[in-house]
Amino acid sequence: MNDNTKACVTFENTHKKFGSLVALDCLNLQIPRGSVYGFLGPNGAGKTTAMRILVGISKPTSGSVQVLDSNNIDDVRHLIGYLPEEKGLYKRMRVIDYIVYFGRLNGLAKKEAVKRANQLLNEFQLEEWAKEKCQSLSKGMGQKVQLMATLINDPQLMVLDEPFSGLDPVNVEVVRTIILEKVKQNSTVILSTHIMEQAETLCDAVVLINKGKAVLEGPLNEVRKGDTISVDHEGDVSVFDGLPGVISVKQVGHSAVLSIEPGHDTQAILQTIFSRTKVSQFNANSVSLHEIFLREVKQTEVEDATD
Amino acid sequence: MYKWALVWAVAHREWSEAVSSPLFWLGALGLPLILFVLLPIGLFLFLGSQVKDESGALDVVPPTESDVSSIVTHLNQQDTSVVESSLPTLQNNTRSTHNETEFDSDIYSYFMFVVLFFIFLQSIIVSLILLSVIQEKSSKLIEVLLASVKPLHLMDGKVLGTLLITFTVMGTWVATGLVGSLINLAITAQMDPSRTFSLLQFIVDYLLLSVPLWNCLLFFALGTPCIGYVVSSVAAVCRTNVEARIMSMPFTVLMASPFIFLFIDIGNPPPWSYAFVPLCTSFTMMLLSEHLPAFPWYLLIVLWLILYTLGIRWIADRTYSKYILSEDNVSGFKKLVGLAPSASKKM
Repeated sequence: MNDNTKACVTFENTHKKFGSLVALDCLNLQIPRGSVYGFLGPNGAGKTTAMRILVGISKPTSGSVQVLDSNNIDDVRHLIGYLPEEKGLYKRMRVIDYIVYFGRLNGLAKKEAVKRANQLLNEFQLEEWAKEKCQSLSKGMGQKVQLMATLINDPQLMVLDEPFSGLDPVNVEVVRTIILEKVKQNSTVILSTHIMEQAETLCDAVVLINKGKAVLEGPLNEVRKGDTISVDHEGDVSVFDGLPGVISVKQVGHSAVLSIEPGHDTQAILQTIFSRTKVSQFNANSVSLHEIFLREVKQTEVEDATD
Repeated sequence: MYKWALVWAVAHREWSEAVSSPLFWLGALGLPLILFVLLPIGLFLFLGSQVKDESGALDVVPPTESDVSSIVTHLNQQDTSVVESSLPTLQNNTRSTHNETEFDSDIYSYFMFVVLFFIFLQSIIVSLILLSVIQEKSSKLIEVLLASVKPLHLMDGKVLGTLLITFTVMGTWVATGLVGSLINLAITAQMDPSRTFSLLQFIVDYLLLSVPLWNCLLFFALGTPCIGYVVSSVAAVCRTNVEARIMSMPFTVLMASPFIFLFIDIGNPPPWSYAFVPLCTSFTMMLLSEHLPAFPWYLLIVLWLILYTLGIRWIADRTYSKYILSEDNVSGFKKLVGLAPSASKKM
């Protein structure tokens, strides 16, 4: 059993430059063990660079990364499973040989690798395809095979870059189940995704990276702190002017969505609205990751523009 | 710590992917079958009678000068007994001279065949490694591979795997050659009983005791990693196979340059001094298999080849690590020349 109080991955002032382009700007993160951790951010934010650094295929320009208590990733490579965003297969290789090959690259003996590969093929219901060449697989099946190659060494840390891209809903569910299964076994899963609903239902904690910086980080319930209030009302948007704790108001027709600052009392705000106008319907919700994502990205852009 | 198991796993994959292809066996077995089995059978079947006539005519060869002058002297002295006793010797001598000439010619053809065969294999290696690196880079497999294996181990595995493939080709050629020799033996014995062939002698003379063969084998085994590392790093810079072939051309031309220079009589320094030019060592020494330098020089050339191969491996590791994940277009001779200095910044 792993010690869950210790971080599984620690980024310490990790900086990465490609020529003049800053891909990671002094990233500081602590990823807890036994959790599903989401890397969120727009395209080109630096998520893949951060993932590449933590699996050891890229080196930081400055700063350090500690993975599974080791500063030297070469020592723990065999304990990490990595599924990159752009996935490839050896087309002329048989499915089982492909999975076994990655098992052997991760330190398994051939016999053990064959045994594990057959188990995985059964779990993923692809045993009939074991002796087929990879080129005959559909895209979804190919992704499953790549995931099997990631899982064959029973990794303590799984790093999955966009694991759901290109998968149909059935296979999305298969991958979700596997991720949750691995976490039950005390493995840590780090994933990046553009699908906020996936992150909301799967992740224990998230980091939002934009332009190489971590703009928001923490457990999901803390990140989503702050609520929204949807109100169907009479009058125009001016009825919400000067309301304390309201960050923004989106008005469409007679409906408005108010974003509330974390820590403010929603009940008090609602009472003030009732006193100002006639409300036909209202609803108080937690802020969705999607909204947080858009808000934070927009805010970074504004800050950059004013700088 | 050097991870041999990983290197072996990579090498085994390279080898098994090649040998699992029917096209590989078509190439590896097809050509020697034609050369060593079908062609000789065809020759004996269709030209058998002519060969027999010509071999009879070969018995009439001019006697040596000393034998003739000795006979003439004794004839002048009317010493018939000496003349009679000299005749069998004369016959033996002429037969022996004839056989030696034939043997030398066979050895020379065999030597040229061996040299060309090894050079052919080394050029196959260039293609195989280029193709393998480009395949992994363009299919994005490289990213998942590098998460498990260090770039250097991956390159070492590729070079070892390609060597295994070429040794498999060699094995099929030797096996087919021996089978072909046995078939030839059977056919020849039927068609021309005067011609004899010993398989054991063939193995001893042409395989076990053949200096050119072992020299070629040594420089092939030592020279292949060197060119393997060079083309791996060149392919890492490129995005397509065509691009990689064009970019590797300066190196392959340099590698094959001994073909041109060794046939020009440059006098001093001796031709084997060309072996000290990096990348030219293995071809030079293969081509000079019959005129090898004295032992201290030979040893020095071997050590020099090992030393600069290690240097090239070090540079190749840095270049490969830096560019293999890059999708930028860095082709062009200018960039190629600028590779080594910029390679010092490792990603």
